[in-house]
Amino acid sequence: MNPLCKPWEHTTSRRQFLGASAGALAFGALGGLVSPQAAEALRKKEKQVLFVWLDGGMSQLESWDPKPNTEFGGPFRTIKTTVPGTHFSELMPQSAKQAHRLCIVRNLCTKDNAHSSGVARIQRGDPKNRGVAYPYFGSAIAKLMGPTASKLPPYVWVKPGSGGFKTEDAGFLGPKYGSLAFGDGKPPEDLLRPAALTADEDDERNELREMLNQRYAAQRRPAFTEASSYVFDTARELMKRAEIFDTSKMAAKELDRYGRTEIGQHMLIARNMLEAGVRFVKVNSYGWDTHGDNFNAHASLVPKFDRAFAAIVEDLAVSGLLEQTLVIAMSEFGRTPRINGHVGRDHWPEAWSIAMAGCGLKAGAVVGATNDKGTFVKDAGHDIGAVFHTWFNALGIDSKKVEYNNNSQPLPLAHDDMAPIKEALA
Amino acid sequence: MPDQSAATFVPPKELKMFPCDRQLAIARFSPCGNFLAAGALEGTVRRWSVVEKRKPAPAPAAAAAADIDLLDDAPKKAAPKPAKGAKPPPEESPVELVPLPHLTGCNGWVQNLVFHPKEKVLYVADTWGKLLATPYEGDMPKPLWENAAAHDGWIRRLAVSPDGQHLATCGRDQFVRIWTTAGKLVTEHRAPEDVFAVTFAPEGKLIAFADLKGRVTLWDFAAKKPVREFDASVFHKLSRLQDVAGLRLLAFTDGGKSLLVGGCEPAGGGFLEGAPALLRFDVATGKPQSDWRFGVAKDGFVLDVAAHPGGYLILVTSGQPGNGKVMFLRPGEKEPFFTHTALANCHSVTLHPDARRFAVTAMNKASNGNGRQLTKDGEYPGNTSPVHLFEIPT
Repeated sequence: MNPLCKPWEHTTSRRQFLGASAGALAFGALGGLVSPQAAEALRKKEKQVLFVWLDGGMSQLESWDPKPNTEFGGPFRTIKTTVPGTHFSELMPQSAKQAHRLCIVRNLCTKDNAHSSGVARIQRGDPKNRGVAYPYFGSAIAKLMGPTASKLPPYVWVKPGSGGFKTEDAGFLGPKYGSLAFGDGKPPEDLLRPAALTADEDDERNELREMLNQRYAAQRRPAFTEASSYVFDTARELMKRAEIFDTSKMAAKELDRYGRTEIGQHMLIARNMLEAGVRFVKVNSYGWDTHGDNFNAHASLVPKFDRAFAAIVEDLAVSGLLEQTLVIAMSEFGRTPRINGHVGRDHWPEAWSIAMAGCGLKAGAVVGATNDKGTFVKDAGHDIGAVFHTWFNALGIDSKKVEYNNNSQPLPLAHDDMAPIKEALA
Repeated sequence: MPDQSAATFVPPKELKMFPCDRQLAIARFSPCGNFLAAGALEGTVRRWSVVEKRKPAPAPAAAAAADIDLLDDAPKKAAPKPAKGAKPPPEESPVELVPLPHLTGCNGWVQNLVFHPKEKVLYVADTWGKLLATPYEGDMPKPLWENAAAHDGWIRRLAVSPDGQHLATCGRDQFVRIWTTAGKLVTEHRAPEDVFAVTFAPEGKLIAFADLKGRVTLWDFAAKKPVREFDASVFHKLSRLQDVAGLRLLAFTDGGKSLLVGGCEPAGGGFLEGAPALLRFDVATGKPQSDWRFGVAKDGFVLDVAAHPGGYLILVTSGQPGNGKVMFLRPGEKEPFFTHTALANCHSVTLHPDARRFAVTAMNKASNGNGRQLTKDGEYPGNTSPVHLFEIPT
């Protein structure tokens, strides 16, 4: 729960949001994708982020850092990639074709091996403890960069399960910088104007809503009421572009290329959102905590991720958006080299991998290495703080100079003692 | 032979545990009974010489074995007759497993191996798609033949026909293939999914294979056509993004009249929770006859089965780390009449040809664990699979 708001305020906020959704504007004429001219305009100055979160922990050994024919290497072969000398697991044939566009860091060494704390710790960048909850990376970007010229919500989360406005991501930044979550890739219920409601009736409802909002705002702290208005206004822009999340009208070939799976369809929606100008899109996939039957699980999971991930990287590259879009795919940790009795792998933050692509990064780079058995990193490795510095710098934000201002408390963007991973930056 | 009626049942006794420095996927006794071979979670086959310190007790009467006949682990018909009048077992293990040099040349994992029923040949399949035949005696036997691309990747299961003429393989590449035991491809069939199990029917002209979704097909490989299908979809679950594959084994019983399908009824992916399950189908009609569950969600899979000539099955299960069972089950009964829970994560069971002993590959204790667990020397240890040798009392 965010310290700036109370539970009843969330209830009111949700009602207000849904009420506003019911009175949404008619579909805009722009359609789901921006025009080539508009896309070109965006390309000139707007940097964006795609953040793919594989919740539970993808195995580095069955993906980016295979160790075939070693004690802990598992049953799979490796395949060549488009980067000479670099191999991925055979479960990633599509990503292997995009390797020249990727930047793989193979020597992550982080501190937390628990999901409950690790997810937040990683997504907040694990800075020094200053008694505040740091924002997730998406919230940080929403604060630092705001919406693009598209005025679409700056931080959208496409995820399985429930949707809504998730304020907890924002930490000390305040609820305004939370994520707008599209549960199961769908817009919040009642987002679109019901067919039975005329445009005039809709306008009348909006006027009433505005009046009630003002009355409500007079009795609340500005931080919260600003958040409500902000979310509503940005969500209204998204409402105009319903085609973005309507995959039913997309070409069968497109659907197949991304895969007719949960992650495939969500990644396709994410692509549409990026093309439409959403600043930061997070895509979640759940079920990666493979303590049991890890290898059959990864044989099922990884190819589905691989297909969707490679497709979006390729599409962003072809459209030119990859030049300005930072693409990240990661989990809260990797998985143990040791194979347990349930033929699973457990949690392993000691030596794992992250895949990135896009703006500010060195394409085709493989940074760092693990030892021959894949048990530990060869050198000191990189903690998540260094990765945060890298991301900020890739987006043109000097993380050593720019600071947050938390009610006059200056706070660094990322861990003070860490620095960007230079080998990863272009 | 052992009287396994409820009133007189005496549980099997563990004779000895033999350590192994790697994890094992499967173990099988040779038909002559003098060797034990095991496939490791690395590209090797581990071998042991079975050294008898005393002569075994008489084998069970052949007539008593007539109601069960598992081909993949059916040494009884080829078993040599043990000497009569054996002495009672001493307290010290009467049998030793003496390690022999590993067989190398495979990649990834060796998850499958089968012995030729008559000849001194071992067939081995790995997870990179290699199938090979090798003598199993001698220090460093050279392969008789090998096919490095028998499948595109993981060979899930390998079976040999009762007459020793054919091999059957199936794999992650969705193919089921029939080979001569000389390594020549006879025919193949492409299934709609990853194929997890294959076995020969006793008459040797039909095979049964089963895929990820639990579709079990009885297939005439000479005519290249399906004969019958069996619904074992209980072994599959789509859990979030993951197609959870619960099916692990197929075996004919009752002289080919029944088909056993074993594995896990998955409740969810990731952690992989699910109950060990075994179904028995009537081969003639395709209808289910029996449906067993052996525990709760943490208990996992039925991973292997051996048929004892005394008319019961020996099953092993493996679930969440630490959970493993050895069970004796009569096909006509609802519950196992013996369950042993002292072993961790039992991955395979093989019955010695004398039918007095069986070996179980299990896991070291505390095989799971997050975080950095190092040895005193600072090494990161892998897990291991000790081989537990049991004797069935007379």
